[in-house]
Formats: sequence, structure tokens, C-alpha cells
Amino acid sequence: MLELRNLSAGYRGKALLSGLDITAGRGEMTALIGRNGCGKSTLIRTISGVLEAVSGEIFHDGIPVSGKSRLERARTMSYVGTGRPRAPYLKCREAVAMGRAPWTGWTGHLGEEDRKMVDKALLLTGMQGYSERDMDGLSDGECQKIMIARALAQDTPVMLLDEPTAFLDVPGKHQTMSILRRLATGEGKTILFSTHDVELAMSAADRVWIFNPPHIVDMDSGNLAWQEIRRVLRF
Amino acid sequence: MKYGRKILWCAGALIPAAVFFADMMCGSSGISPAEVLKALAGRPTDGQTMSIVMDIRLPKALTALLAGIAVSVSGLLMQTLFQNPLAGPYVLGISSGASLGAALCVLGASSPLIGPDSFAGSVGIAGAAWLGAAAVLLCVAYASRRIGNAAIILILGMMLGSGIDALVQILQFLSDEQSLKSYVLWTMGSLGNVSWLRMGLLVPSVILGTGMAMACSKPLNLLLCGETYAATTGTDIRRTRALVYLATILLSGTVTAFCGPLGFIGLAVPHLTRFITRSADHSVLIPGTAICGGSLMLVCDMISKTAAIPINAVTALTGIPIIIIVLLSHGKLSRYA
Repeated sequence: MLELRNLSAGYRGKALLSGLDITAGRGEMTALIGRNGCGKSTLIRTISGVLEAVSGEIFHDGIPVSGKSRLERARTMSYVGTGRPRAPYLKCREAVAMGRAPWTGWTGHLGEEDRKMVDKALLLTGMQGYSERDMDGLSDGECQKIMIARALAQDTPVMLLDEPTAFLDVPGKHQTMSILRRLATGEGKTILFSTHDVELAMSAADRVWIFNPPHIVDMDSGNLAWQEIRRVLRF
Repeated sequence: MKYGRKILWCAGALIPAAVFFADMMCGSSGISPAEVLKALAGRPTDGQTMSIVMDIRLPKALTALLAGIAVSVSGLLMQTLFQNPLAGPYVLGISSGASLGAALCVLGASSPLIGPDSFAGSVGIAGAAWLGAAAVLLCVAYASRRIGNAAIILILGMMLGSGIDALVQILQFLSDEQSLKSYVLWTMGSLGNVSWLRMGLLVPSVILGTGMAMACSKPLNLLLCGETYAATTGTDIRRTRALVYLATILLSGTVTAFCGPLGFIGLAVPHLTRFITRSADHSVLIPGTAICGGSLMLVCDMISKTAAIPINAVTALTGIPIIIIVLLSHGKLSRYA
């Protein structure tokens, strides 16, 4: 369970979002929606630890995240962004194996357990046939799946995804969502993802966080109506 | 598989060794290969041959090997760190920074302390080059933190390099004839100015720099997916960056100080190595780049000796076609920027 307690998030000490008291449950998928620049990425980056929280605290299973070391944090939360790796000759399997980094020694050598996790991540995302392919040759959708597999190999209870469906076509979006659903329900992961696709958020997620800076409105996706979203986002 | 890989690495390490001996055989004094081997083995030969082999050819070949390793590995480090396929010590102006430091030393060398043949003088030149390289590297690094665009960083690096070269020209204009001549010769690059005394500084710098790079293999691999991905998998980005900068300064600063700016090898060799090894893994690429870079520089030295032209012209004429071939054949390069 991921809890934000009186959390303020922003850049250079200036809070964009403040006084957040909100919880994402285990096995739950939460969609983050809102206008451009409303702080979805900022919140994801703050939770992942890339950005420092302006004030307040984040708890995972009751333990404050700020007290965790860099490594412990990386073993608690994984991140998926929109960017593609720009490296020639990088194999899909190697990219997925990078998710094992918090679990391997300083040389990054993969043990038996690590290799099993990589195989499992490739299998769960349906990318097992891509193992030896170069990342360079992948479509955006395939690349996104590999990056999700990478986060999966990281074996963290919390997964944070910043617009995982941004560059995907309609089948790609739904495939990605069904992979995430499988991970939430099957593996009990807490999944947070931001999106601009409101309908996708309503249909795929359990809860929807609607960003209305500096606040976030937390709603059950089941009884969420368009009117409600229009009211919060004022359009 | 593992065993096969080891054999491959051993075979790979034999290439620079072979080119090293071939380079030792080349020279203007017409000593036969047999006599070179005799001198190397420590068998008695006539004093002149002995001194040519041991004091001219051996240090020069060793310098070529080390310089090739240094500029190539530092090029690889910069390409990964700046996530820019066209980064390299020369292109980003880091060699220019080192030149300015060295120029201040060489052109101001009226004091006996900074003479090229004392150890203190060597440390002085290398130290000045390190400072110069560090200054430019920090500027480029700061700019690349502020500006995400790889092309702008390259242009900035080039501008910075050209600006510094202009400063160096002013220095040249103001200096006397003797130091000017030694400086101009230095800018043409030379692998022959490294005495055994300077070798005492060059060898540890290259070993230390390459060792530091090897120690950073894991974080460098993680950086291939970008800084956010690296950070969220537990990489200490600041420490990695600091270590890689330090390695780069040691490698390209020392070589630039002693051999002059050796252009384009540092940019070309990492691409050549990626192409040969078909790998993106730094624990493969760093030793691979060292092997390729060392060998290529030795070949450049042989060409330079045979044709009696400055080494810098040879490295440019060898490196640039490789870069152009990579740019054209790859087609994937657009994915970088």
C-alpha cells in the first residue's frame, strides 16, 4: 500500500501540488489524469525519488520511503517512462536485465535467480520471442512492453508509469492495460500510471486521481461520470 | 560459450601486440627486424641500435598504444554519459581545454622548472592540461544539464573549442620564436615526445583512467536507457558522473598534454568497436575499445613514420572515413538525437 501523507510536490522548492493525503492500495490500478502541466509527471517523479518532495512523506506499507536507501527504494518502486533507449546493439534481454540492477553486485553479473526473473518478465509481457532482438528495431509499442518487462524484472511491489500509452496505437494501448491489469490482480502490485486518455483510465483503472492543482480528487472509476471529470477539470 | 569468449578475447589482445611489434620494426634508420628483436631481448648489439630501439622506438610505440587506448576509452565514456553518438574529447572541446593548459605551460616555459625534461615539468604540463580539460568538461556538463538537446551541446562544445583555440593563437602571437616552434610542432601531434620520465606519468594515468571506467561498467550500462531509468534502478548518478569525468580528464588530459590533440580517433573507435562486437555492454565495449584504439593508433603511427607526415593528419584521415561510414551505414543514428 502506498500512502501520501500531507505531501507537497514540485520543482525547486515550489509546490505545484500540496497537502496530498491519498492512498493507492495493493493490487490496485490507479490512473492519474489531468491537463498538461498539472503535475502528473512531477508526482510520479517525486514518488519514485528522482525529485525530492517539497514537504510531507510517502509511506510504503507503513514505512517512510524517505528513510530508505537508494537501493531499498529501487527495490520498492520501479519506473517506466516514455523515452526509448538510444543505444545501438542493445538487446531486449539486456534492457530487461537492467531491471535487476538493484539486486545484483557492482559488476552487474546476473545469477540464476536474476535470469529466472528476466525470463518471467519477458513471458508476462508476451515478449519472450524478442529476447535476442535489438531494441533499435522495435516499434514504439514493442519498446514500451520491453520497458514494462524491465520494471517487472525489478520485482518491486509498486510500479510507476508515466504515460505508458502515449505513443501507442489502439491495440497497443489495450494490450498494455491488460498486461498491467494482470500484474495488479495476479501479482498484487500497486500500479500508478498517468494518461491523457480519460476513457482508457475509466475502463482500465480501479481508481482515478483527477489532478486539479494544487489538489488531487480521488475517485472510484466504477461510478465516475464524464460530468464529474468535466466539473473537476473545468471544461 | 564462456570458454569461446575467453579465446576470442585472447585473440583480440594479440592484435595490438602484433601491431606493436610491427610498429617497432618501422623507422627511418633502417634497422633490420632481427636486430630490433635482439635489442629488445637484451642481447648485445651495437650501442646506437640499442639506443634507437630502447629510447626512441619502444617509448614511441608504447605511447601510441597508450594514447590510442586513452582517447578511445574517453570517447566511449563521453558518448554514453552525454547520450550523444558524436561526442568525443576532441569534438567537445576537451582537448582544446587541455591544449590551453599545456600551451600556457609550453609557451611560458622560460622558467627552467617547466622544461620538458624534468619530472616536475612533466607534472606541470600534465597538471595544466588536466585543469584545462576539467574546466571545459564542467562547462559542457553544466550546459548539458540545462539543455537536453544533444546537437546544441555539440555545437557548444565546438564553439568552446574554437574560442579556446583562438586564445591559444593569441598566446602564440605573443610568444617568442623558440617556444612558438615547439608549440606548433606540439599541435601537429607527436607520439615521440614521451621520454621514459614522462612515461612514469602516462602509464599510471591510462591504467587508472581505464580501470575507473571499467569499475563504472554497470552504471554506464544503466545510463544507456537514460538518467531517470538509471536513477530509479538505484544508480548514484552524481557519483557515477564524477568518476567518469575524473577518468576522462585523466585519459584525455594526459595524452593531450604529452602528444598534442589527436583528433577523431576518440570519436571513431567506440563506433568501430560497437560494430565489431555487436554489443552495447560496457564490460565488453571498454576492453574492446581499448584493443581497437591501441591497435589503430599504432597503425596510424606506422603510416605517419613511413610517409613522414604528422600523426594528427593521419588520425584525422583514418578516423573521419570511419565516422562517415558509421553515419551512412548505420541509419539508426537518427534514433539517438
